Amino acid sequence: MARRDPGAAVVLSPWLVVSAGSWSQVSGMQDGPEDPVTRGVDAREGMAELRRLIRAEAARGPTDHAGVAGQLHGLCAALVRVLPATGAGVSLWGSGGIGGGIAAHAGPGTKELEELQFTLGEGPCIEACSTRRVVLEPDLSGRGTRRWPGYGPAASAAGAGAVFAFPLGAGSACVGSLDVYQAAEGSLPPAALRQGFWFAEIALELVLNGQSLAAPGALPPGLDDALAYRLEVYQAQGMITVDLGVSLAEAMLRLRAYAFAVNRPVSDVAHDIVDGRLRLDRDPERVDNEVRGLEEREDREDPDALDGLDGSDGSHG
Amino acid sequence: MIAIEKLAEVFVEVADTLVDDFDVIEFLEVLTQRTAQVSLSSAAGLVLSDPRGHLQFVAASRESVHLLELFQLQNDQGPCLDCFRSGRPVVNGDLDGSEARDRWPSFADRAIELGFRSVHAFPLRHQGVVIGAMNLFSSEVGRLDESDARVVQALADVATIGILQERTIRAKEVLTEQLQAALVSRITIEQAKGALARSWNVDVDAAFTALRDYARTHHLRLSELAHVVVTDPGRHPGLTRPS
Repeated sequence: MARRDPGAAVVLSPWLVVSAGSWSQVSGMQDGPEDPVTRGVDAREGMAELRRLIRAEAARGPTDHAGVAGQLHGLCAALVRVLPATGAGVSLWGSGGIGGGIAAHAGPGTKELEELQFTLGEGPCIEACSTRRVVLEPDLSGRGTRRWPGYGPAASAAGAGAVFAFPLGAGSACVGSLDVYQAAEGSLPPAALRQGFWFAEIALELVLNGQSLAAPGALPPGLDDALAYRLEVYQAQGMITVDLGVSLAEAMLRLRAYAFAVNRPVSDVAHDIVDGRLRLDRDPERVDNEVRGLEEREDREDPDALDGLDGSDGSHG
Repeated sequence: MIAIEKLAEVFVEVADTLVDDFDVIEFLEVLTQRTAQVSLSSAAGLVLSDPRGHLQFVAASRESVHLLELFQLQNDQGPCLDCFRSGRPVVNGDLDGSEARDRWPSFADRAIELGFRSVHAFPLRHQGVVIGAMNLFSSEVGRLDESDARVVQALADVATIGILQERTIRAKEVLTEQLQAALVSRITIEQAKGALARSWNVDVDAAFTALRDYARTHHLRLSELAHVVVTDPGRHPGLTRPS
């Protein structure tokens, strides 16, 4: 048999299918010279070793990381030790690009890098999840910037040189991504890329095992807590739909545009909106005024200055 | 003897069906047909255990075998059931022989009626668990030799892998969809809380109480009501419009 069909590997090693199968195939990935059988044995042993490392890291982690979140934290910590990576994070995404939040992260600045994509509404993890393909960007400041005009420069400025995002999902649904960051530019070596696939497969397994234990309609308990931090963003989004009389999608765009304009994380801006200290105006031009208002506030450190930001003057509804 | 070239073709064909858009029934139909061909049997059939351990008919290379498989299941006797229960293959069962007539009297009669003279059954097993069995029927009292039996068992193993593969993927899909739905419903409820808080000029906790009470009073699911509140608020003016 001259052909080296991935199907052959599937037949002989069923646990390879998620990483080697069509679901999350890397486009243009070179088929290695190894025999599919050898490769399958490698995968089984390699993944068993990674699972051991993940358990050890999870046991070392903070005790407030319960359940799935703790396991994912262990996974990110193990990944940073095993791969040539400076950071790793697992973000969850609902359907239609609705961000569920960061479930776990490890490495300096990783949380900020993960949140950046949510703030900007674009980036490798969102792309990996929506296309259900692995996204490899070894050159964030160059090609990455042309690919994601907002995220590329922002992630470079935050210290990332390269990013690799592995989708977490089965069938047509994607629940999130495993994101690997490197401070230096450059591709992942083939062996590291394979391990990345294994980490992603284990991450999905951990998340789905948690889900199988969750109450009907609910998230796994540990994950629920890990994602709670972002709930204010969605409350603020709902508020903006009423304040501005716009759709949910536009409300999120306005929220993001505002956060970008004032250079603050979306979650901070959302917090002010939910607290009633900030109200976006119907007139987009007023954003400039709001920005100026914020700058003044920062200058004066006077919380009362925020009153002036309530541009709608209660004229909503 | 099973011809090697034919066998290679079968493995390639079967491997092809294991890739994109994998349809497990189609895969098993192809597999039973090819197994019947390479083993020079007249027909093949396949039964699988359901989650409660009851065998169900899944695939057959022709209709008479479909009937025979059902007959075994309904009458609780036959080589397929023996093989499923013991986890060991039944090879070269002579349907007219005394052993077959003792073990499966009505099945043997029925199979002979349909023109078969011998029967084999191979377990579908994985790590000590038997998930089903594959039957082969022949119109002659043929003899599968030891190496033939190993080849047919290998094809049965391929069927097992395909089935388990599909089950794993489907279970993952279901959980993935559940997780996604839970994420989205949680987010939608927060969005609705925010929208109601602004409409009524109350805090988000009060908005949530109003949302929950309205859902209870009107027998609506909270997440569905929340979805309507943020996408089509006019449908529940009593909730979304301040009086």
